[in-house]
Amino acid sequence: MKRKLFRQTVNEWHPNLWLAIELLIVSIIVWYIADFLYTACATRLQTTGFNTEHVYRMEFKRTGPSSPRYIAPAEGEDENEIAATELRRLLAAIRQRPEVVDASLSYQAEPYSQSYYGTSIWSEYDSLEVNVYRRAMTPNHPSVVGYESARADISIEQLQDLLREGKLLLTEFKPGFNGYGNSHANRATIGAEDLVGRSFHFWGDSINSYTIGGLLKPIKRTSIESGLPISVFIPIDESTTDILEGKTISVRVRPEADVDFIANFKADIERLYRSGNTYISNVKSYDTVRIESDHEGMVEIRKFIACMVFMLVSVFLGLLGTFWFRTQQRVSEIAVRKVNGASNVSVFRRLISEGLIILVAVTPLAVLGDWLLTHYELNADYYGYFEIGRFIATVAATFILLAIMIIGGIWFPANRAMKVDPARALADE
Amino acid sequence: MKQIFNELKSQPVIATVTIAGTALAIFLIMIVVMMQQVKTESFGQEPNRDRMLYLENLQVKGTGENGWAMASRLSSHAISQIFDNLEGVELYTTYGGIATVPVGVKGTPQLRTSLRQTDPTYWRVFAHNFIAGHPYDSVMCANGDKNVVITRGIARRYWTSPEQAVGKELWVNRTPYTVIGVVGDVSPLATEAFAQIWTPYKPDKPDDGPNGFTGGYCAAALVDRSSTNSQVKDATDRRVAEINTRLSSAEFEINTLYHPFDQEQMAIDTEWGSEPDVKGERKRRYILYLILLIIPAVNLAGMTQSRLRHRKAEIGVRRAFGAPRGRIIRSILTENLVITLIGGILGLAFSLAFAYLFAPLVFADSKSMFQSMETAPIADISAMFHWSTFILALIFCFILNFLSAGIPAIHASRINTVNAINGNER
Repeated sequence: MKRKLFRQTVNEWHPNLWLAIELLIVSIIVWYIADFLYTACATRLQTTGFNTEHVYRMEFKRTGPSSPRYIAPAEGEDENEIAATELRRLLAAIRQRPEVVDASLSYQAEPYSQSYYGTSIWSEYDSLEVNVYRRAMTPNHPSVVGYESARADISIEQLQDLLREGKLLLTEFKPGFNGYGNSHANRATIGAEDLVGRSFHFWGDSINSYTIGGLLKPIKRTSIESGLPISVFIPIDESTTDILEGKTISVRVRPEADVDFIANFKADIERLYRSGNTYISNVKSYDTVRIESDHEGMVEIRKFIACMVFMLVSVFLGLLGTFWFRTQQRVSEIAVRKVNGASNVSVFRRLISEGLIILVAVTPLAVLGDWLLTHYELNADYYGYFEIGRFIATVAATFILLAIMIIGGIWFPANRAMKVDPARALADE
Repeated sequence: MKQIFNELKSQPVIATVTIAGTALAIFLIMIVVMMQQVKTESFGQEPNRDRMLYLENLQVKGTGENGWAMASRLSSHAISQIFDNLEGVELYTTYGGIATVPVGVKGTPQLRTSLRQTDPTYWRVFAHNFIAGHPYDSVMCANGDKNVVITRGIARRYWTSPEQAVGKELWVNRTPYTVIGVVGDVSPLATEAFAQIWTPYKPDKPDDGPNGFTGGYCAAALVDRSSTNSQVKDATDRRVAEINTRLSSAEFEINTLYHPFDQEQMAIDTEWGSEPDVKGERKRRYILYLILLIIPAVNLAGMTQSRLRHRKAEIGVRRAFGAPRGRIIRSILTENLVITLIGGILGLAFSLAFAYLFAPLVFADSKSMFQSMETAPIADISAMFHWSTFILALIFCFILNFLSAGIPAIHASRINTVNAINGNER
């Protein structure tokens, strides 16, 4: 039976060739998209290193001299000092809200901040240099945005105390980790652990040195980027005017009290959250921030999915049309088969198998095409272009998707063939 | 014609599948075309996109020993130095990017609204439709008057009619302004003309130091009809070179980082400070069109082939009565074209309807579509209807028809007359 089926498929090579060509092209394109979606999902599933559930982001601004509400500083008063005092008052007022756990300030250390403030730290002791993202935060920021300590025996509170002492925190990385850009000779042997307790300078500054106090778990910038860059966190002292320029407020709210927080907060904003010229200008939940930062990536993903659906529907329609004709032409053949004892189900199965044989036949060629794409690095980059597990998973997913489309496309014609009445079909013979 | 329709009627499933396949192909390809067209074709408030040049970035670089460099948008002083009396420039405007600021009348909650600061020429370079009031002029800009032009949508928030809004007070970013004009709503797809409120810009003080060239503005120049875009680009380069010669003693130079861009260059997502790869982008687009055409073509070719096998006897008889091969091929192609056109029209209609109904989804990668997400984007029907869209759809139909019916038609014309009439295979 199988040999006969195979022979028949080969005999019908001409119309089958069209299907085979179509399946080959579609299979490669669908694989390409499946590979892209695999990397997108894998990236999204990676832990981000922060937890922003029940956390809100706020911005603060100052009224300028052009506004009638502007309060000019008195003679001899330092406007920066006044601004810092006003901001500290606002922070205290936010912390006093019953639903608020804590509020912190940060500079490029707020989740989903897409800044690229890259620099390096270097040691004068052995000229070791590590490329890092430079971020800054008040000592309570790690617990507000849910950073985690890299070591089980050191709590996040202990790390926060280190920040209070003016020490830096570093995100964990393994020896040989390729951060970004730099590949220093010492890299292969030196991991984050080896840097703890040592002092470093920032690039371009040979005067101030900082000690690395402890390690945080790796922290991603956004949920759609795959990299886990090395980040260095510098403490911001809340009692200084360092809190002013470009800083963002993060607020953690008690989970049980996190109902309509933004609306409730906004209702009080004019009354409670304005101090002198400083006011809270924008409140957003980090979920909204994430959606905004993911927007471009989501547009890309949507385009790829639309393209994939189009390809699959094309396959579906192509098989439906071709097999509809085929069953029409083969009515007498099917009738003879039935007269000779073939059951309805076996007729149905035979047609479906014909489609699947073509798919099986083109799959090796398609896999070769897929492999060539990875070889020339034309597919999506996710810690490289080829990884055996990922390749097998995406090839299998492509095969299954196409098989489903083939079965779906042949279903209706095969169903019709099944219902052929042998007596009527063979009446002419 | 009649024969074609009878043929279609006798095979309802196949006819539906073929038409659906064609419609799907044309639908998708036209969506891709429209996504490109809203970025480059003229429409609504941006009626002269074909002769616009945009200057968005400027780099200031030290020529001394320490190689410092900074880059940002431009100061109005830098823009006027570059575009003032430039050969081939009919008009140019200086304007800022979109800022989202709280806006409202006193006593109501302030809503976040898209604001743009512009010079008075902005209203002549772009074609906003003034429903009430008038734009601000250069005197108002120079005086720093707190005037604002708003859209009909914003006027409707606070007043019953656009006329009523004129002369009223509106708080913009916690400062009171007077409404002097109301314009029709602008689709965010018109990236440069878009905003919800516009206020007069503040010209920067003339300063020939390194800090005097960077600022917060960009510029759009309208090329006069007797010059080409590339002539004006060359003239801009010459003008920048002149400025640099003048600055040579000041130990720094300016560089426009491949600007000004024309509309097509603006539409390309380019890494900051690098040249848009127009050729590469076009190539990628053509490859995409090709893939979107080839898949359904192969698909439809398979079906055409099957359909023609069905009509073997008929073709055999026609050949026996002396029909030349060319005529057989021609008639098959024409028959198929009718089906393709029916599918094409359906596909185009669906794509237009889809693009209109799901504009935020389709055009989500447009620059200011996202910026204005908080303020309900509007799809502009004029952005999607272009003659070029119809012509392109027709061309795609012809190509699709040729690809999908060409080979089967040639094959059918080579039929062996005797075997065909006898009903034998081959």
